[in-house]
Amino acid sequence: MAPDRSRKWLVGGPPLAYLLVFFAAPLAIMALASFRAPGDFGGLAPLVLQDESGAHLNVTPEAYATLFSDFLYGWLFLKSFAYAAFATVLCLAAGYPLALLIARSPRKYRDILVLLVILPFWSNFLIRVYAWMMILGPQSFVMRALNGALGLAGIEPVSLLYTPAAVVITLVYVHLPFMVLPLYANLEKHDPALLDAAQDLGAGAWQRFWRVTFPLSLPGVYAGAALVFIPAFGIFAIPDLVGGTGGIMIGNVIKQQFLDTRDWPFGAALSLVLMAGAIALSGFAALLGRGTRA
Amino acid sequence: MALLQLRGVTRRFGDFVAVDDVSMIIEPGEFFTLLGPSGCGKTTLLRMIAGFEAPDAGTILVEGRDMQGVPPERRNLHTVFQSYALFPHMSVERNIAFPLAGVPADETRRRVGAALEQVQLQGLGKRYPGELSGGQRQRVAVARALINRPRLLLLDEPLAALDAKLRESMQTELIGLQREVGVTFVYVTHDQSEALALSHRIAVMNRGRVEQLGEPSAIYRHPRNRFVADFIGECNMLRADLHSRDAGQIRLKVRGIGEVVATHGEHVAPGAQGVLALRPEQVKIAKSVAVDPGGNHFRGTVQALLYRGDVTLYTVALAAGGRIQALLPNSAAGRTAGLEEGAGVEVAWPRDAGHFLTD
Repeated sequence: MAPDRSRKWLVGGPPLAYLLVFFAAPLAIMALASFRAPGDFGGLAPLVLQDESGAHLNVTPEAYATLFSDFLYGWLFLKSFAYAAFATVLCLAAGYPLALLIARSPRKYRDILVLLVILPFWSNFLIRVYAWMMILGPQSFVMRALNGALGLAGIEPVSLLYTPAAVVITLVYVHLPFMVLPLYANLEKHDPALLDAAQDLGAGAWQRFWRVTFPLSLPGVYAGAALVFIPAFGIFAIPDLVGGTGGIMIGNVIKQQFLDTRDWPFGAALSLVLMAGAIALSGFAALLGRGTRA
Repeated sequence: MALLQLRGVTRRFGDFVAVDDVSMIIEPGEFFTLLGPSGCGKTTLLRMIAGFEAPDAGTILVEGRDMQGVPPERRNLHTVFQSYALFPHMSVERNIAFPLAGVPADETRRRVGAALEQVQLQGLGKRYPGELSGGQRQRVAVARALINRPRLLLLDEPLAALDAKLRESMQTELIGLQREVGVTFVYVTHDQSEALALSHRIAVMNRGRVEQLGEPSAIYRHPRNRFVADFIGECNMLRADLHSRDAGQIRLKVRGIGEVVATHGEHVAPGAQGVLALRPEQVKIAKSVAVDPGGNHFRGTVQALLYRGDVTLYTVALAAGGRIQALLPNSAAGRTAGLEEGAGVEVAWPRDAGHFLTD
């Protein structure tokens, strides 16, 4: 073996081995588990059953049969998709101006502004979600101000906590940095001469954005959308804490299958379908992104 | 009516005066060049004409109309940027069609096709800028800037990024194109040979001011001051005092050379200090030069020679200790014979070759 090839394996080998052991292997176990029968008290039933006719394999597609026959699960997938998609769109709407603002600030301030964007990561994810439970709760300053204003307009007070709206609001808050960072990384590289050229050639501010800045930023938009959408699609902690019964997502059902109902094969089947869905959507986004140049 | 008129245009950045009280008139159809070293204010001036910078004082008029407060997108002029600034996400066709927003599709197609032909890029319309060579990109930038027939085209060092060979052929192309479309060009460059080759008129700029404005040959042959003499072409710059004046000529005491007669500098009073500016190609050099009674004639030895292929630059040390440079075409085979290092030679130049410059 050539020395540079062995060096390549020396560098790439350990992380590859790590991924094989802790990602590929568990995934294979999940895939296999989804075709097994659930155990009587959770876990999995024995793979080989002994009875009078002899030994035979105890495998079944029942988990998938349930999943695809009961519309409840399809509905939950659709609902999770809708929440995640809505949160992604809101993240884009909020994150794009922010990323553009940072990218167009004087160079010396940019690092500080990026630091401020990722500052929330310094406190624990769950603590931030708990904070949102308080903010969205009826006694919070925000909600009292909101309901006070609604009251003046003659509208009944609303409650946000334990509603789908609370799920989407929290999803947006938690995932916003994942939208801003790739967008900023893209926008920061744009050549300002292109905007000068567009303006010189007759394009007003609106046209400069839609004909130059936005199309050039599409790779950043796709990257940000994927980083927000994929984790949001399968999340369970946020709907668990702020979603109530109405805000439940597919991630909650998967968690229930493993921890409460203890139907591991069904939980495994749900996870695999969720993953396949996310991969299909990313592939679709990549296909969209292939036509763009930056 | 003048196409472009600048009146006392000034632009400051903090304490630094980038453009200092510049006035000029540019006529329709002219190929006008702003020439100067980097930092002389030529690009700032161009950006003010384009509308990207606003003058702190003075007025810019395009076809008689004051441009104050008119944003770049509403000025009837376009810029070819130094980096070309082609849109990387658009094909060549779509780049060229960029200014044609709102024009019907079939007319756009027809005009883009004609523009591609004009800059000799037929068949490359579907390519992307990343797939083009430097010269091709430059042509796309020019085609894009000319597509909606502006009255004025500003070019910011458009050839600086190209290699020397290509630059020369693009210069010829630009001259042809400018003549063909009849659009007024205002061209910015730091390359004096490019300015001389391309322009109808040149404004030589230094430290934000126009040092001299005129036709290329006038600027080259009659530089008005030391900066222009030194910046345009090669020049012997010899420290000198004005000794005396008489009818139509001046006598100079040139340090390290001796007494020299010249004609340009009549307005200067005797006793003034300055430099004698003398183009190397005006200096004759040979083993023996015929003595011109009204001219200048000195003896010396060849100290160094710089062979450049078409010409050779000789540095001659004169008897009085000074040095002078002379340029001789190598095609003058008979005359270059024996002019090797250390050879004794004679140098001479006519009295109207030298300029006495005091500022």
